[in-house]
Amino acid sequence: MIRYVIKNNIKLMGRSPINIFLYIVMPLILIAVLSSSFDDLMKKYEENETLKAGYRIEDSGTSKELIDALKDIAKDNDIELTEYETGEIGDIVKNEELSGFVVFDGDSYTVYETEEEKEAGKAIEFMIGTFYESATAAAMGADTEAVAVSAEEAFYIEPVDSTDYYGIVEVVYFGWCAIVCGASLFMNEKKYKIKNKYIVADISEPKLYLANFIPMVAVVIAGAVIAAVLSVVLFKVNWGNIWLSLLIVALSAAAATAFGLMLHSFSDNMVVTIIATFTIVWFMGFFGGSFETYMFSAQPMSLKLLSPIYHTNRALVELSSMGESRFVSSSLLFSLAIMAVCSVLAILAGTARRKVRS
Amino acid sequence: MAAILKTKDLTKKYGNKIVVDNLNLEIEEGEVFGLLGPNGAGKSTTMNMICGIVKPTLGEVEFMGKDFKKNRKELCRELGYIPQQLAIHGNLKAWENVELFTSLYGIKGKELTKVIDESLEYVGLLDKRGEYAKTFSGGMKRRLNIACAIGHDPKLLIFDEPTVGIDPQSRNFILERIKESNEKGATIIYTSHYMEEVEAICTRIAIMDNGKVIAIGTSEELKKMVVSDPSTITLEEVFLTLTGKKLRDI
Repeated sequence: MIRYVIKNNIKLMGRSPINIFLYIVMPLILIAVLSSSFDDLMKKYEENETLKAGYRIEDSGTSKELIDALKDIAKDNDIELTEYETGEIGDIVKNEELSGFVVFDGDSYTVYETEEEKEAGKAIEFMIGTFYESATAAAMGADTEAVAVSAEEAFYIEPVDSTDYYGIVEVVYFGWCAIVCGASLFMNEKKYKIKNKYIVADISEPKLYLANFIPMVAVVIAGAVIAAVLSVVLFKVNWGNIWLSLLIVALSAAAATAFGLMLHSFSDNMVVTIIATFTIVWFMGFFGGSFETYMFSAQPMSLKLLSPIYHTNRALVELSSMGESRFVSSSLLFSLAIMAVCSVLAILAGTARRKVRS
Repeated sequence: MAAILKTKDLTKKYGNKIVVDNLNLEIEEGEVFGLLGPNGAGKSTTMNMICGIVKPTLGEVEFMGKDFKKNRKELCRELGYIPQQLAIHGNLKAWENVELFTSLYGIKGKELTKVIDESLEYVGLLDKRGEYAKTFSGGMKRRLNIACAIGHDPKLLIFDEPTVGIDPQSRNFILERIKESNEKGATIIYTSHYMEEVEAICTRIAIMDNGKVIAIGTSEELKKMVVSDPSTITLEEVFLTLTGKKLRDI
């Protein structure tokens, strides 16, 4: 009869002030802080102004062969690249009112930003970085046509408001810290050997897993929904397709819960679990656009695609800004796969621990 | 009386250390069986093996005439375990704690509601059913700990030092309840370091040391093992004579 265990575990988790703070208050604080910090950057994009940037090629390396393709891609993304063969870079930027300047030297490049237009500099850097990554993928520029196509796909940026962006991604990020939701329960169970009572009553490991998994998912989703509703009320965040977004957030929370439970099952130590979870989730968030927007971050796309948070963020942000996203399916599949694999591993580790302790 | 519980050559080793050594116990139905021993004697490990928390290295446990390991699903409902630790949730109300642990034995719905009230009344906490366990005193928590283990009306109740750190009134209340449970038909296994408690409620007592039972019998029989006139010696003196005065947990 694990339904009563589930019911009471929900009560235990729901009554925790830490959970209310982490899943409702913290996302709202970060939405306010990050959306205002990145407001200029996002507005710059929204305004759709054409950025003017200069460039110089120092020698005849790969860049010289790719420059025409790069200029085309830049033009498609409202960045106008003009060559300046001579002159002091600082003077050129100032006199020509440029947003940035790029110096290509062999296979490397340097982007110069101005103090006044740092965001524009980041956008230029991102565009060039994405282009070079795609160029590498297309065998170092052997097929510039292929480069142009993949680069265009890689860095298409949807017009999204910073409040909408952070309103969405912070709810997802804190959902990934799901293990904290069960921390006090698990610590209490360990301290007072409550698990022994489940063993005496012959409650199997899969049932015990469900008795923790279901309440954690329920509480994290409830927290995410409340935070999302408050984000709409307080910041007017647009969540796009509400039901599809809810499904994505719910599955993401379920995946996060399974992941946290697996780590806890391996370590059997809540402090180790929380440190490991926060570290891994921080990296997933770092590459997934939880702090710096994924559109402008210069991280390699291959690493971004490894982060489940990237798929979830991108799906939700594009649903909000464009009404559709090709990342919906990858986001859902990623979450389902993590949930399934981590659940099985957590149960196996729990069963093995029962055998070891005896 | 038939034996409700038998241990056959029950042994537990951790590495090279033998914690319980070929233990053969027979506990008869309806008795209050006391298990005494200094720290590290193997009492808790024995209890844990009987309950299925720890698997024996060798030997087996027969409960109600059946192999406990092979018939756990059926037999666990007849076993109530009151651990030394306060295995309750402070952030749950008294009734919620009882509901949580009683439901593990398949009791549900209206029956569960009835059992919750009966269990709380039994330990004198019915009027506190809606209060959080974290607000309870040590004695009340001990009583709640008992209420969480008796709701499914088991035939065998195992009490592992249930009166540690509580006032005499609470201790007396718990001992009275244990006697009452026994009178209603439950068999009791009871461990404690309080000799007068064991002497007061146990019909038979075993003294364990170094994983083995070194003496077993009624209080009188144990005393006669040491002196000819049992009225001249206390159970504690018998215990110290048999197990020695050397400190065990240094």
